Amino acid sequence: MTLSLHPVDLAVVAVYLVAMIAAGFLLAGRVKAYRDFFLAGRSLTTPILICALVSSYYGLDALFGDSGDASREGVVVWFTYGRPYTLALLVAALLLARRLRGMDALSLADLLGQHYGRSTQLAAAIASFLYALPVLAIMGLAAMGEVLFGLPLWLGACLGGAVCVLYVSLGGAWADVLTDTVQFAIMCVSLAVALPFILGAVGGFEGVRAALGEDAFAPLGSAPPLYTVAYALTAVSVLVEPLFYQRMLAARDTAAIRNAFLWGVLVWAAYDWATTAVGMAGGAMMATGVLPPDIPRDQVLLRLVPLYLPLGVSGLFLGGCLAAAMSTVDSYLLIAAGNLVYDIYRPLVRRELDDRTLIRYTRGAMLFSAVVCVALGLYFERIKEAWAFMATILTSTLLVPTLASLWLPGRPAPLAGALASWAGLSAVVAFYTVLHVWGAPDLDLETRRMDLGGLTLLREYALFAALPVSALGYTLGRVLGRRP
Amino acid sequence: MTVWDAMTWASIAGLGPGVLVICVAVARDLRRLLGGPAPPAAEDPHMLGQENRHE
Repeated sequence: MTLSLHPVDLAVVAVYLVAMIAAGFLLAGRVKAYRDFFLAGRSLTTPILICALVSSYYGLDALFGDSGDASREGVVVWFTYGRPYTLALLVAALLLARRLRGMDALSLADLLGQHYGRSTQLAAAIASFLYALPVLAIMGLAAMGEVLFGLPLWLGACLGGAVCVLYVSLGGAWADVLTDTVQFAIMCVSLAVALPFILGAVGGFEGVRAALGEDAFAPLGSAPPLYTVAYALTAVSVLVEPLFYQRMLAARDTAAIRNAFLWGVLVWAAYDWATTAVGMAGGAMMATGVLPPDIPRDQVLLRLVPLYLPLGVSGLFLGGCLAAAMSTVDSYLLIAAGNLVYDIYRPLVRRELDDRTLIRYTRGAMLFSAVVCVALGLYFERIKEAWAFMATILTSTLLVPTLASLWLPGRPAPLAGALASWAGLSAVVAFYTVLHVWGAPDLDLETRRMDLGGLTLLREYALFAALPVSALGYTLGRVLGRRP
Repeated sequence: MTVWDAMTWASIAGLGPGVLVICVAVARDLRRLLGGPAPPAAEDPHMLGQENRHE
């Protein structure tokens, strides 16, 4: 499907892309030390952090994925799937920010390395690197290239990745946060402008209710309670989200972090509701035959653009889609590259690297990470599953040692961190392997399941097994390990 | 007005005017942070490796 767009709409998109690259060139002179390149000189204020947090954490998966889910399931997407994340973000704002005060680390893996030693840093860096690879967002850019310009997927992925690598490798974190601000404005304002047009086209929520029925307005939905709890539990990944640590460590002070999260929670909630509402409107159009009933759910929003948005607004909205994807790609590529160079390569070679070398290597690692993303995105068809797997790996590997390092008194034995991270990692891999080999597909919940006696195991329950194993590893390591 | 309509208008207010207010504050902060002269060049020996000192 290629949308036929007016030249004015295409010009809006072109101006946006040129502006992003120009920002990279303008800020290149600002990057002198690695601290500037990776953490923007540790000087980010509350407003800058709000933009950098919201725009980077929410990509096309939030925009297209949530609207697609809402078209099928209704308001449960906002209430049950989204609000546990609000709770976790509030914990991050009120508790985590204060604990990070004064810590001289560059990343979450670096932080754990300082507490537990190199083995834990390596496990953390591998989990963080794999999680941070923005495969979904780059493939989202590829899909946009296909829809807007008729480009083949591989070319769209390469071009989209190349633009992001270009401006971030030039300007580092400064270019990242500056472009994030522009992208934040475009993605939020374009959604706010589009929402009344799209919702009005179906006669508001009364029209949605008439088409989808009362079930679409049930806040808790109809999934099994344990499945809902397991889904909500994934929100704890917020507490080990590499992006948040990079932003928090780049902040000017603790108050800036806390305030940014508190304001950010409101913006995230507003964005979530807007995507839920337009998704429900799209679902109503599918139910009434205005849209074909067989289109992929994550394309619902994109299909509405040429139908209901006026000239210029549709270009703004597509610019917003690009902004949502690019703000995720640029930030996570920087984090993945930092993991490779600062947290994996530098400790392995065991020698001092000056700032200029670190910056040069990180630029190269960013290009390498982008190439890996494109290759993974083109190779795996069910990449969303792979991402869910990596999010589970990240949480299982890092949650216990991270929280212990921040809250438990004393300096724990390095063995505690190593056992907690490697045990959590092994447990989740084992759980997925068992479900993959002996489980069966569950078509209703779009997952895999295995019946064990009277117990039903779903793939989403991996954290229920992995987190206790990780906690057990930590306890064993603390008892057995010698403290330095 | 239903609760769903109220949530929708609140979202529009937050994502439209609310976000623009944040962006004005960002522009002010960025002008202050980036408006001055560029920091010293990396060749300055005091700048080299300063992030690695804990190693």
